[in-house]
Amino acid sequence: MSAEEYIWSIFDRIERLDSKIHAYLQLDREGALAKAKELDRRAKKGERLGRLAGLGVAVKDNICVRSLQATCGSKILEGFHPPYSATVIRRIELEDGIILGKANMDEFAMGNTTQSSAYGPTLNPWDHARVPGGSSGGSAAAVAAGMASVALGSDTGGSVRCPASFCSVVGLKPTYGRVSRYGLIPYANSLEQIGPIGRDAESVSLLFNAIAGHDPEDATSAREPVKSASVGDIRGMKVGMVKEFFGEGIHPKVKSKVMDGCSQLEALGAHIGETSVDSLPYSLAVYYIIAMAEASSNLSRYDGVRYGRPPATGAADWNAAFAKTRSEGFGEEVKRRILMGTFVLSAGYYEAYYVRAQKVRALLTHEFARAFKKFDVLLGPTMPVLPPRLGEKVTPLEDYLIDINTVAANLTGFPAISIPCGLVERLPVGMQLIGARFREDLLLRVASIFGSEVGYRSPPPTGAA
Amino acid sequence: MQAGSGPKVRIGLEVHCQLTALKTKLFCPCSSDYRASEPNEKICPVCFGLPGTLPVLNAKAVECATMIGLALNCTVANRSLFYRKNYFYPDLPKGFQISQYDKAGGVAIASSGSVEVEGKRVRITRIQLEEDPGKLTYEGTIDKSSYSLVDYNRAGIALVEIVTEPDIGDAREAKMFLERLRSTIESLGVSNGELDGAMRCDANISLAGGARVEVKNISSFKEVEKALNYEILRQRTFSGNATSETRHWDERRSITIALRSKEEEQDYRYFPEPDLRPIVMEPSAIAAVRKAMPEVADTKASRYVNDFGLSSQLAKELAANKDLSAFFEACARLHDGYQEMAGLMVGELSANATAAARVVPPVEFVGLVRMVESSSITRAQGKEALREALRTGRAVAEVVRSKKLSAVVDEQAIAAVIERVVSSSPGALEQALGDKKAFSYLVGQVLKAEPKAQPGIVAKLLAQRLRES
Amino acid sequence: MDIHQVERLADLSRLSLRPQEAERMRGELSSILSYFATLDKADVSKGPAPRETPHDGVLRDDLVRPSKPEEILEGVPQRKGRYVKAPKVF
Repeated sequence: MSAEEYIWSIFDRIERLDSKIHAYLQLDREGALAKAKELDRRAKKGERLGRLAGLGVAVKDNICVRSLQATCGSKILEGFHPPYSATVIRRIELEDGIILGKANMDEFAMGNTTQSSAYGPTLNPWDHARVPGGSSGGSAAAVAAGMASVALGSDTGGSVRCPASFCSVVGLKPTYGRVSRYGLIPYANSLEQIGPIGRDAESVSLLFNAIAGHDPEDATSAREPVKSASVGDIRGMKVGMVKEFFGEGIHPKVKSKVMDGCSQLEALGAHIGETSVDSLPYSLAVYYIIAMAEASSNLSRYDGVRYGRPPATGAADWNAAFAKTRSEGFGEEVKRRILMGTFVLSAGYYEAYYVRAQKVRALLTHEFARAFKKFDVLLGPTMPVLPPRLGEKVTPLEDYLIDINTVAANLTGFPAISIPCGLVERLPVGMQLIGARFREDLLLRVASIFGSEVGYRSPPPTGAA
Repeated sequence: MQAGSGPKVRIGLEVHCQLTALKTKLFCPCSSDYRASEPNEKICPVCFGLPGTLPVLNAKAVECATMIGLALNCTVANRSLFYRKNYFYPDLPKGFQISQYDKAGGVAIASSGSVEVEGKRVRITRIQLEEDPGKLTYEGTIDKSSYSLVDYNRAGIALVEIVTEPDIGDAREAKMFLERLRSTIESLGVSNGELDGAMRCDANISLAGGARVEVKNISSFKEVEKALNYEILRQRTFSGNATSETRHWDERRSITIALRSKEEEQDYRYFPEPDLRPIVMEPSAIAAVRKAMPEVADTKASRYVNDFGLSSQLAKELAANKDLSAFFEACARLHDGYQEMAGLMVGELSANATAAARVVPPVEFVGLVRMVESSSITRAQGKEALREALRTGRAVAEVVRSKKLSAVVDEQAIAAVIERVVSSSPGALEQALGDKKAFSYLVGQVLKAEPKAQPGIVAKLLAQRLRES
Repeated sequence: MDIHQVERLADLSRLSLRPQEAERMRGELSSILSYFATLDKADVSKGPAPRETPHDGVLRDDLVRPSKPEEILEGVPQRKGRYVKAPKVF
């Protein structure tokens, strides 16, 4: 099959399915097909092609692609066409990957269901009455439904792993600093990473290796050389089940499914043990304090003056105009987090909240590092629940609580992956593995071997559970 | 306004100095040469604040800030942090300024230094690196315009903020401090303080432990003295304690005006900049900077006093002028009449020593000085020759020849002139007896009558004449 | 959290909230704050220093990269010549 035919088939599928699923906010059909044609031409001439040749990539809408709109799922950035591409995009293009379009997401990456997108929700391909997870819901749904070969998401508190878990695909959050953040419109800078999503470990590995590595445009970028995903088995690999990840709040069927997965790893030769990370119960509070603080500052630049939505009319004074633009352009959840973030940074509260949270974060990191002296990888369910129903009424706090297992990896910077672990009541369950710094290779190895055991199952075309 | 008349004045200064020697901005590779540019020409996604962009620190800026810290006798931190200062203003593209902070765990690049100005020690609290915002302008006047115009060329330019303790006692001291600061920074080669907007200053003033008033928007060092004098007077005549507030210097009307109270309610919500790592300056790196940095004016002045026997006043003036001191040292290699050379060049060549050196290179300057020392021309004639040479571009020796400059050394001729002057001002001689000032005046009168007379000889003969009378 | 605090926060972050919105936020923020209070139980006395940098920062050489201002100015919603037009600060 030629690249052009392949890309055509993807767009065909998108045409058939996406009016329902709504994984994409924008498509670049022309650009993608032109690239595919070019690739075929070069292949015919016998030229060597890049590692991602012909792969169709869906890109989360908070990652800048030159000339394509970048909205971050928000009205305030409607009309923003970045004059530059993120470093990861340039690397994908250098390896002949093809950008298909921009994927839907929770507004400014704040959420775990993709329902807070100002452009409407994305449906879970496994069950159209349920959420695909978030905030990279569009990316995961596109991959799960065959509307992309692979996808890029971003993970600040679980935003790649959560939708990967809910859509039964593989999603990786790299070690902090492993992948360049230049061109990622930030939610929380000290927590997030761009992560690859794919139907299997191989495709995730391919994309990861293309985008990972030091970038001089990102001052937080690590210089550590990238370890290629190592071939091999998992015999003798020390896997630690983290007690706190299997706590009371976890759906019992999810728990047992992941424990089955654990037994399967044991059958494959891994040594399973148990461990405890004492400060884990604090991780959610620590995460939200730090994330909201950074977000409140990161979102200050959206004034409608230099890009995006023009300033609101009828307000002559800068401060009033600014407030009007922001209030009209931001959704409820975003406003809530800005207010809370402003609070924890404000005079009189900064020490008690932000500084304290950073101290607990350091403690947590220290405890994880200790655990990695005994284990190669740490394990638990990615999400404590099955994919929730669309439109389910929950309080903000109840919603935040489902990030309980994923935030620790962001706080500590360790890499983490979610791999499909099977179905419960026909709904996907994901298993999370956390690795030592820069050991994505081990995580991908487990994902590969486990994947060949459990396998990936395409969702029913109608998405009816 | 004399210090000491009235309650004690305490002034602290906050000086913002652009590192104009840097070719690029602090966090992006845009050209820093914006003064001759069209609006919004020297911009990129980073300094324009486009979403998704990241700051990357200019290594040379760290070096420059370290040099300034060392020159002001500060302790340079091994690790310092960048902080975000959050506030909203049209010229601040990100909605925060990347700066440094020295409270709540923050560490600035240098701190705890001091500068001595005319015997008074002014402590330097801290020195920090930060970025300049853009520029806000209006079409026509600010009142008539219904919108503002923003130019981001200046956004992201590297600034060093230098904060002093309130050790300064009056406006004049403040001006001296600022002049010293400027000459120090210029001699380091990190900034050209003459460039428009390159050095700005805010002041904090309190009277006898009363409330602290901040005065902002002082556009030049000249204005600083005026603004401080005004504010001190205002606070002194104000009945009751001045309230702690921020005031704005209005240059046109030469007064300070209270800003609306919104300013005080500012909560900048400082927190460490997560997109940047700490600035690391190991002791060895600091030592390397110290070794490589240009000599600072004070050190140079001391060296001139010690090595060349210059008077401390002359040494200071010379050392404060980078180009002139280079000229002096070139001349000093050719001739040892140091005091004479220094005096002559400080008086005549200070304005633009480099240009002057092209017209009067060290060899020719030394030649002229030798003529003065040997009394073949007077010092006044030497000055005249220099001025003429600079004005016309002709060689100085040629000017002496063509103008037929020569000192009158004939003692008889000079004695005759002395007689003429003395007889035309009766009583002047008596006054000159024992009164140095009157004596000098008389010498001056003689030189006025005969400009070519060698002043040394006039003084000698006049003193003789006094003894005779 | 009381309503005045919410209003102050809204002001600080340049968000304008309608009264019902502000009241709703007040309730939600208060419950989130109560959850944050669980951190009080954490013992941070013996912990390591925060933000141990796993690696050194990246620095840049002082070399000019030519600007492409037109690309950026193209995206500006309101301009006057080369200036960016913004509401006036009162």
